[in-house]
Amino acid sequence: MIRDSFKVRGMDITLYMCYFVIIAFFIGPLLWVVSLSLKTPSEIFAYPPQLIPNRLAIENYATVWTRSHIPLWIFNSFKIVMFTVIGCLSVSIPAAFAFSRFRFKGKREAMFGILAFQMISPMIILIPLYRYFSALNLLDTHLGLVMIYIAVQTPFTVWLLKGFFDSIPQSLDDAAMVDGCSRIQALFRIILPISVPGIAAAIVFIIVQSWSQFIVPFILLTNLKLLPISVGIFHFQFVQVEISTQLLAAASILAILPVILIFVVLQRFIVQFLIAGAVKG
Amino acid sequence: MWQRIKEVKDGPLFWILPTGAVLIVFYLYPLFDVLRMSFTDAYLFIRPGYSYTLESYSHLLTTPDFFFMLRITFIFVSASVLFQLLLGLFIALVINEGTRRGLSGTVVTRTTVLCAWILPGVVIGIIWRMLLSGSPYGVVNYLIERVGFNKLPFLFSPSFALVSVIIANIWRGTAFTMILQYAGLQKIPPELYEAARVDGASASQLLRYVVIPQLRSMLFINVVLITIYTFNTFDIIIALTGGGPARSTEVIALNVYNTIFKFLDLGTGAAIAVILLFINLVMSLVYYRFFRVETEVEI
Amino acid sequence: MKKVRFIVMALLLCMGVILNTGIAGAEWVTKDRLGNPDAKLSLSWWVVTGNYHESPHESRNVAWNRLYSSWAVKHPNVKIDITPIPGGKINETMMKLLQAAAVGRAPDMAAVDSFFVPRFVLAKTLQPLNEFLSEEEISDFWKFTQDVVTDKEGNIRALWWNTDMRVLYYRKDLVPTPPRTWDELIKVASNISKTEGIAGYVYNGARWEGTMLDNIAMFWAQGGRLLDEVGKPIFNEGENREYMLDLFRFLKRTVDSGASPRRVVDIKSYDDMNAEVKAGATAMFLGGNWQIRQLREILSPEEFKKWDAALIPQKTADIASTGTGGWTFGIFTTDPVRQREAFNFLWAAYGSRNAMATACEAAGYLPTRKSVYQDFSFFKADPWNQKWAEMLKYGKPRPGFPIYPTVSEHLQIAIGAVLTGIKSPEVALDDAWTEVLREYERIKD
Repeated sequence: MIRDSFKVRGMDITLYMCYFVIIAFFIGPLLWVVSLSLKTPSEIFAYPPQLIPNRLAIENYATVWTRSHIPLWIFNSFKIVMFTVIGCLSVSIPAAFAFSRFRFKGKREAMFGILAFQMISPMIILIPLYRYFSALNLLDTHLGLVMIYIAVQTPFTVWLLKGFFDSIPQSLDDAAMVDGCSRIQALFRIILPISVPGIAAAIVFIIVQSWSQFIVPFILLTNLKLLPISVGIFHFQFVQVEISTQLLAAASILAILPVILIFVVLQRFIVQFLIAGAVKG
Repeated sequence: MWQRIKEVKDGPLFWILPTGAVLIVFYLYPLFDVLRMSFTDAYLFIRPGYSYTLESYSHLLTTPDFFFMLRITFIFVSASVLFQLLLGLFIALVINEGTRRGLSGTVVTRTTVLCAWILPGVVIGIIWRMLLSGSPYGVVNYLIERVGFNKLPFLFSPSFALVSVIIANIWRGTAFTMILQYAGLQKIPPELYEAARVDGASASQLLRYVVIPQLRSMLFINVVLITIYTFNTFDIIIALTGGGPARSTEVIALNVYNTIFKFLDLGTGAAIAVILLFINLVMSLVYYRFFRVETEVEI
Repeated sequence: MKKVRFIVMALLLCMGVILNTGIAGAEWVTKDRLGNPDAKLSLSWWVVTGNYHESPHESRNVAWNRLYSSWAVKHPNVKIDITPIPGGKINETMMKLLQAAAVGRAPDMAAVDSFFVPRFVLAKTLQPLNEFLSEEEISDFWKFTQDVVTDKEGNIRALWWNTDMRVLYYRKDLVPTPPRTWDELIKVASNISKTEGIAGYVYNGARWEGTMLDNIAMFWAQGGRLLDEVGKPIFNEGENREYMLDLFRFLKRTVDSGASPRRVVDIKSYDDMNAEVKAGATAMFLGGNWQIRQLREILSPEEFKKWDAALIPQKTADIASTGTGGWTFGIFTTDPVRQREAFNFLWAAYGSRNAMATACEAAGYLPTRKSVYQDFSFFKADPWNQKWAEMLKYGKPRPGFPIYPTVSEHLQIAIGAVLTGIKSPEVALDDAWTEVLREYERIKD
């Protein structure tokens, strides 16, 4: 018995050590960004390099907050990302479900075809897209931007969700349909609740990848009030002006805080959901 | 006629239509235009007209450094993908096990890895430059010297520069694999673990015979996607080395960016993009075979 | 009765407040809009985030607030919608502007980086400004700026209002007399690196535009030309080849002799060199004139006193050159009324002597008009500015022809190859030349 508890302990300690190493590797540069954001220009290049500034230059954050439209931009990002998530899931879930449940000719080709859309970087399609959207009057609109984001995120979301649906035995669907559900009802009542981890993963990806898009919104949007934060922070990158790296750092921290918040909240939500026994097993 | 409509409604088309519509309306036209542009000698803003020609492709394939850049790209992509996969999987397993045991600090760990991913690429480049710089304020070299070794030429030696760029990319991209595989781990039925344990399986045997096979389709999509993403990565490289010294970190994506945004050469840029598309497609099929996805579940 | 009186008083008070604010003019300068909010004519304006009244630096904001206010009061019939554009992403920003102009969505007026002007001229989207400028005003601008903004037919296409140049910064305590030639530079710098243990001379050597603009002055001074009058590359033909090889060989010597550390091939911004200075890690560097302000900001007064600036060292002591950059404003609208109003604004806030002096003083830029250096006390009295004015005589801008970005990119690659020893100067130059010619074949028509 004691031997077992040692073994468990040993594993726990090993795991904690792993946690530590992982955190150390990933947080190092991050801490540096935070440190930068709280330094004054003369401290940025100090030698020897110091992690903790002599004085916390919080005014950097104040400058960044007031000298631009950061609150508005963060709101824009929320808005754009929210619509992208809703839109993307709305089209991807049915498609993934169909690819999972139906057998039909050309299924593999269709799936790879969808994936092929993912293989051309948004940067490249931006040039014809600009003219296309200009003709459609979708330039400088959130609607146009969201549609492109949805188009960009859909292919892999379909694949991801299909993978999840695949792991749910079709017998569950069949049982539900025998009980009188239509396919759609089977999807909503049985499959989706079980796929929460997969959907959550998809949501995280859509959020992160849409939040950090730069070149697409930069080219498609001009109106200052429409910019997402990923574009807005570059208003603090200057050339030949008084040193401003610390401002860019502060702006970047502000830009990622909302996503971190969403992520933490989402994790809690998922954990609760799982604990509530919604997972089959 | 209603019968036909009902048939369609019962068939897969009805379900796939929204996705198809979105992709076709918003992505297909620009995509075709890129394909079309690759067969022209179009330039942006410099010259209004263009003619159809294969010159862009021949220009590209006869570029002296093109195959060198392909090689750099492959090194960059394979090292990035491999290590992101291994590291991400490792972290997912660690976190999964930690959550199972109720260890605290799981959320912090996950969030830290995620933060690396959401920082803007340019900022990542700036930070890593500061960390790896050969100048006195370079943090990593400072630490290396404190421990007693000599400074390393992270960013000004051609070979080291490539390694530095790969490390920065791994640092940034691992979160994707971590999240994906963690989600994948959730859907492994606990009965499989129990059954294996009853049979006396050790941890590594569990990993090899239960976990990995179950994760197969997830790993497949994971690898495909991070390969695509890494092939398209250039923002971190442009900020970190600009493609230098000389061309030692110039990956194809960076070359595309320069070709279109600096040289305004749309024809060649589109041609490179199309070639990249084919490389990605081929790699996906290779992965498909490798992971033997079709034998697991009929795709 | 009392109630009525109260209401009338309140109304009068409100009117008074409204009228007063209307007259003050200061409220006509807001974050996103300049001018009378009720003005009939509305102009759209793209400006770089460092160069307007909402920059992160107070001195600039004060200066431009003042200039904008006085313009607004004099022009109550015009208002301006501001779209700030990121100054650190010049390429993308200019691309976006070119793109917008191509589909007819350009703003009425916009900031155009000086070495992009020719590309806009080629695209025929910048409107001529000759009717708004007098001969005297035109000739007041430095000749090199005139050459860039004037097209073949003599039309002035942009208002180039600030410029900058590169100089050799050196520490007086370590380098009593600044080196004037390459040989002197190498000698002094390698000496310092041996005896002082710090770098003798650092410069931009990484792959970015700064490397080109800084170092190419050493090619230009010898008489080298990158492109000919029609934009055809000639930098590897005839004497130009020798000049370029000399430059490459010099650069190679800097790292081989120890004058410069090998890490110069990783110096990728002027800030990188600020860092070297701050850490006391170098005795000399090739930097921009604006860095004098940055150094003053990050160094202690004692440290700052040690620094001085001189002309960029050249192959021989009798030649000189320095690369110049800077920002312009261009007008895109074709409507004559809007053009005039746009020009009035740009002139009042950037182009007139008073505006230019005020703005450049606040921002640390160099004015592009010669008379400003003589007639404005700040520029006349400030020793640094007088020094810059002397050196600006040798200023040379980059040729804005379409092939230039390709030339620049490949020369940067070549320099990197030479500095890391991957290629010899000859091979590096020839490889760059081959690539540039291949691209030029495709562009020319």
